[in-house]
Amino acid sequence: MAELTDSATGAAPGTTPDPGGAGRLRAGLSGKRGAMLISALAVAITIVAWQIGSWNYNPQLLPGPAKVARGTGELSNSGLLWDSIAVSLERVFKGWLLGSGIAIPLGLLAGVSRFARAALDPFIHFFRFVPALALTSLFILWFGIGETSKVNLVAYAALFVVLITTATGASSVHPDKVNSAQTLGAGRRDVFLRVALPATFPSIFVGMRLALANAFLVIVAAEAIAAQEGIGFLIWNSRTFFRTDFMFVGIFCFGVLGFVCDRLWKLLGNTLLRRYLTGVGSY
Amino acid sequence: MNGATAGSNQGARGRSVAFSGVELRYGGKESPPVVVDLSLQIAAGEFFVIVGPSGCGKSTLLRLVAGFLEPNEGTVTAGGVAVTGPGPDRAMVFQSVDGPLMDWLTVRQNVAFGLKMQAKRTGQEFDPAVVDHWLQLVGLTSAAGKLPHELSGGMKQRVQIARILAVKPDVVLMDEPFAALDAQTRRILQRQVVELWQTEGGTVVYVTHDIREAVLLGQRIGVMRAGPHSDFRSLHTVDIGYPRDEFSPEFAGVARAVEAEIVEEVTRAWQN
Repeated sequence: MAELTDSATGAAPGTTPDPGGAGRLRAGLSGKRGAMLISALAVAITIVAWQIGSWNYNPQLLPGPAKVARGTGELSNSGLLWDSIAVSLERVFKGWLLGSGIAIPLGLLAGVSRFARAALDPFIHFFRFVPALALTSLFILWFGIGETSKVNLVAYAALFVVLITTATGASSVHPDKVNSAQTLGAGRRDVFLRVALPATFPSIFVGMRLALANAFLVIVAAEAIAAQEGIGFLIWNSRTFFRTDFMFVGIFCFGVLGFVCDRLWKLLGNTLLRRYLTGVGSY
Repeated sequence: MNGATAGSNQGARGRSVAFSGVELRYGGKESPPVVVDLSLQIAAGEFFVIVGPSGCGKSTLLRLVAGFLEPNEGTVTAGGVAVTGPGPDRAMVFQSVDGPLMDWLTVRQNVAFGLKMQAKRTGQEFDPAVVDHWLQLVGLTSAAGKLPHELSGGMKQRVQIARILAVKPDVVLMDEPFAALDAQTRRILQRQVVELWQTEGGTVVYVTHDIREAVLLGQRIGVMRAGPHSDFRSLHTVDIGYPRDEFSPEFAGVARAVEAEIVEEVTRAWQN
């Protein structure tokens, strides 16, 4: 058999055809390590291009990576950077959890009950087009200049994404799942708690992931007005002092924090919640 | 005629199933009926197979017995009691391989699901040994800790069968359970279903579009007419002992007769 195969491919036994330089490169860049290498390379090239670009512009308008790194050190040493991160993260998480906490039960209700859906639909599809930014001033009037208004604004921004994904998930639970649970003797309560709810976890998970990005989006607006701390405040305040490098630090903070939070959420999905998320893609 | 003795399990569990004057419409009163004045008696402990052209309403009948659908006219009864909704006395094995299992529960937990519901209802204690027994019967002991997405299609259907039979339903409804599986797996599972029915008892109502499968399994085969109105064209008693040899002349004789009728129905449906 082996001889047959060898003679068919025309290669001498025990040798593999040389893929050549291009083939080796392609082989080296395939797989997870290769993808990470490509990502790192792309980032490195961008930073170099940014540095070169910044030499040709007024550093007040476009500070280079070196200047931004110095700014980061300055803010880090004074403690302002870490305080800002802590404050903003707290607002983001509180708002995100509050919004999701309201959205999940409402979404489940809208997904499984025709009546609840009819009652909720007009509000859902009206308010989800009202941007959180339009409500900033109103929230300050209603909830004061303290933390409440900021957390509530983030909650508002997170709410509708989670609500809609949850409702969609709950209404599209495979009918055979519900039917089979019923023929196994599950009553309404058990069908809801043991079938519909866990079957909706993937949608809730994805909704909360999207909502997290919304929460970061809105925190800048929430911290633009009547705030004395936070990354958003740092960015707005840097404008007053024309410290574009500090603005860049703030921008990076959002990017990095968002990225880290998203990865942590995914990690949670891949570990604790793994068995519930077998239907969710790996993106 | 000794159809009832052909591997029969008389005296074992099971309830009769009866349709009398059943009419069903999907939608409102104006929508055309899919089932009109259908009557059928299935004996307690019988293995009854329903065959017929696609879309003739085979699954609809099962769903009526399961209680997922309610007839607009007439009654469906199980053990003489009118069916008013789904219940564990009439459990169903679904055609869909991926839909019915709880994706987040292991094989063991899936099989335990119905037993836990039963324990909750009756106030008796849940017995994990029953789960082990059923896992062993369907050959899934070594896969007990796996999640459904880690299983093959055949294994998933075995989980479905085990978790349904574990609650010891009086009537087992099977809606083309092996249609999505490869031929070899299907053969093994068909044989296993007959064996389980012979040892465990119960009434089985089995829907298939596979004539060979129908003759292999059923004590009686009901051939349905092509739509628009679901109805039985004929009932065949299969007077062959189990396990059946599909290459025997008796087997071929029944299969040929059933096939001729279905071909006629399909042709009629095309002409309409």
